[in-house]
Amino acid sequence: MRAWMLLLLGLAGCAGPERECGNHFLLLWPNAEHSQFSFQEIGIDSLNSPYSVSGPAAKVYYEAAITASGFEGEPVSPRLVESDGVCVPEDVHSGTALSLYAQMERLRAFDGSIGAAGQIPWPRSMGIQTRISDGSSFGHNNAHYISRGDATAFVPYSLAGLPLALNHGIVAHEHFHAHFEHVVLRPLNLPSEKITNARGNSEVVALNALVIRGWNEGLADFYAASYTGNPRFLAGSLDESVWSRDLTGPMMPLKSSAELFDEAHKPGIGLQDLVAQSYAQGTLIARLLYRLVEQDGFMLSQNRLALIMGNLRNVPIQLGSAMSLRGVDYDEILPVILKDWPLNDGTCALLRGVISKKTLLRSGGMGCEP
Amino acid sequence: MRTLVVVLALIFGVMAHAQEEDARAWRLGLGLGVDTRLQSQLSPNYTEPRSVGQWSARMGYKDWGLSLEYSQEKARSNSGSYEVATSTQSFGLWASYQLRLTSRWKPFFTAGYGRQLETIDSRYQSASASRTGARDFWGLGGGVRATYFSHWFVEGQVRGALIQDRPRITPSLVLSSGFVF
Repeated sequence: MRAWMLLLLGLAGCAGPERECGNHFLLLWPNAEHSQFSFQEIGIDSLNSPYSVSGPAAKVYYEAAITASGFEGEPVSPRLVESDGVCVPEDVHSGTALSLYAQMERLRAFDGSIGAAGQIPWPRSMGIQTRISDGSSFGHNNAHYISRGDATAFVPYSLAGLPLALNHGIVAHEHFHAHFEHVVLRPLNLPSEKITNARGNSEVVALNALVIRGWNEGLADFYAASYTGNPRFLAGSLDESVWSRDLTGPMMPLKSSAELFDEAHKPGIGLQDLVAQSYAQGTLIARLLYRLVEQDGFMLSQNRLALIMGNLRNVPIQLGSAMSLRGVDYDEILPVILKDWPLNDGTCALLRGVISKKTLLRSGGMGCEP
Repeated sequence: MRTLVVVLALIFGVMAHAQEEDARAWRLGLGLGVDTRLQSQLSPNYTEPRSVGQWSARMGYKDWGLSLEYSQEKARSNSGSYEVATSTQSFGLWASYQLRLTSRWKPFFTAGYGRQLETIDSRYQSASASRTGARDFWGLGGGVRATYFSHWFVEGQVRGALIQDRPRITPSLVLSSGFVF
């Protein structure tokens, strides 16, 4: 009996928890056309261990509080079981955390391919199921880039579709905000919180902040559409917003600072209305850029995005001094962003459709006839 | 960790030798219990208790005991249309050694080895995937046991288990009761 007992314990000592199920995971993942999602075996090469969602691309946290240095605590320890050499998540949040990391790994490579990986620090700090209890509508079905911690938070999802952290277009959209923060907002001394909260700003700065916010949103949509190849990347997650944010939707001229000033002084107009308008202007910017790429052929979309990412750094240089002195028009930023963009009759026609101040067509090296 | 196992095995052996003379008869029994595990949440800074019912078939000889335990648990989580349902069947073989004291409540040490069989069904709208997997576990623990009316036993024990695919030790409290003959 004693010998049997010792044998049992010896066998037990040989088994340990060290087995790792490798670097292939069963994840909810987009198909090649980026429109449908199914369960696929996805490789993640850069995780330090499958039992901690942390690596050079990102650190993913669950229900964590955010501080000035990012999310508090330790990264997600996913629940996994090995099945035929594949790590299978045992709950949706383990699967979501791993899918988010896999997307960040690919976004890091994508940023590298467009020469933008060096614009922001890595690994990125990402949160899922982040609780935001400020009583606003931001607490559910939303995602936020939070400049204070240089982090991206996905709040709980209560709709019937694809959770936002699994939607690679929305992940890319939020990721772009980090680029904009580091390359444009910080040099302009306009961190995202200052844009969100207009109190304490002069009116000129507050209205210009809305213009910058519109550009931030519009470029983020264009970045996400370029990354996914899908101009309706919100579909499946936020279906009620698909139409208003569809990059193939109708075009209109961009608002001038004078129009924005008039809007802001209409009776009954609040900050949220102005923010909604800046989002709408952002969509027009994204549609313009999407159509410009369409003119050139989508094969060149990555080259064009690389050009825009490089031109971003010129925004604070060329508009920094004007930002605190006078109202900046939405279209005034176009020549800065489109510097060195190869223009032809088709692209010039598109620009004429959105630019109010026709002299801009010949500025910044754009070279279109007004 | 393996060194600890070997040391405990030696202690068990010495104790068994010391009490070899005081023999008792064979015993067979059945028990029901509740296993409350303190398992890590996704955020490893936090743990949460999770209870699961279990039954056991027992065999004893002298101061030694052997218990075959079985439990089944189901879990389901969802976010939007993404849903994961997990079913776990757990089989464990636990050996125990009881110290012979004059008090009614007698302490015992236990060590076990087992297997968890998992079925994971993942769904998203019309997409689905069903996978099965298995993981081993082994553990050590100790507790106290009392027997009333010669056959009815009540016991409580604390265990620590190392489970494959789980990076940390899972502590648990097992309360069980049953009959031995």
